[in-house]
Amino acid sequence: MRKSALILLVLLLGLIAGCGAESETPSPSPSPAPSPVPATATAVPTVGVTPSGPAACVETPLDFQVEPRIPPVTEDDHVHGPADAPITFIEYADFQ
Amino acid sequence: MYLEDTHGEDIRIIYRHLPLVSIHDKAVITAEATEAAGAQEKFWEMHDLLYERQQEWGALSGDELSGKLVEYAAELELDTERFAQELEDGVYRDKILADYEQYQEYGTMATPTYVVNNVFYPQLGLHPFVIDGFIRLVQDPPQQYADVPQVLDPDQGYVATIRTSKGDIVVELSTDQAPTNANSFAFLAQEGWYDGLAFFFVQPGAVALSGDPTNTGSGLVGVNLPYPGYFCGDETSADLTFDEAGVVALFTGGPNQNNSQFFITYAPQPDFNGQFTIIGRVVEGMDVAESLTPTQPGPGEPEPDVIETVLIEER
Repeated sequence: MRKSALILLVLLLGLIAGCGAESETPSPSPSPAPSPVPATATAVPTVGVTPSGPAACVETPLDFQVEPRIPPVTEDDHVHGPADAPITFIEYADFQ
Repeated sequence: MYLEDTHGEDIRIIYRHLPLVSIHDKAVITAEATEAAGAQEKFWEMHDLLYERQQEWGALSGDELSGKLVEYAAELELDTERFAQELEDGVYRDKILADYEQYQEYGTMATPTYVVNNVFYPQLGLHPFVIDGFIRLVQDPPQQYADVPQVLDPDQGYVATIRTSKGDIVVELSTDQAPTNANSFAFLAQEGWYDGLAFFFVQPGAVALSGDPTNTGSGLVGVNLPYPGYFCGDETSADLTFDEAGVVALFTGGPNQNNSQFFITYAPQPDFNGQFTIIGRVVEGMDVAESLTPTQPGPGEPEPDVIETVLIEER
């Protein structure tokens, strides 16, 4: 049942896909990618099409994955933009 | 580049090599080419060129590939002799591989991986405007709520007036069929959550979508963030269906992830039945809803209409 919701999402996405976005898809990762949804969120019972009791709301903070081990930006880095910019955007990538 | 265009002097972009050697056989040599170009102050020029010409060099290997890279160096007016020699000697190879080993320690194996002010970008999709929305989210996180107080009396009828730049859209809330989610919507409305947010995805004949503080619709790529600090469970019902225009429902990227995003239908959407929680119906101002500017997130799209505020009243 949820699959068709995904198809819908993909269809909706299809409407916005043609904006010159990078086409490279993330490669499979040996360690699971950090999920933005803590496991507690999945503990909510699924409510089907038939009516059931009121659903619960579960606290799910916008839990940003801060990684303290990211090496600081140094002179050796390839930097584009001002050193005092409020946003530092690091891209880990290859060209293939 | 889109990010530079949208953030100008506010953004500093760092590129670090993460050559996925096991599956990308040309990742190291192309990384070396950018380093060799960088030694002659043309790193970003080579970086851009390699992305641009991926199709061209992607099919080559060995000497042919090296030859092509030297051609690119010539195009960028580099000292090609030095460039070719450095590639041949593998001057930068050890450094690139050492960095790669280091980055693997914290598991950034997928490429590309983005980090915004030390926060990992959670693979919401690589559309520049979604990344852009995430940057804004990190820079200026929205108010977070640990719980949702009961603001609606279950025995009372309510209407929500969505005041937009085009006029009012009045929605009768389904407090009986979707008590939790209707209450959540009303709570956020009373908190001023929706004030200033855009109908950022408006497709005539389909839906008008709003309620995402980044106005980018990360939910459109199948992953929803818990913008208000919580998710609510689904409340779908056989009695409430997407049988007409003007149905108001919460938009989610998966089961039991109802948050602040909502949409209004422009036509019956039978495929949505059981998928999205309906919280109400438009009882007034459907013409206003239909006059919302068709748009979608992305550069060059029309400016979306904005919600001034959402008022909750007993009826």
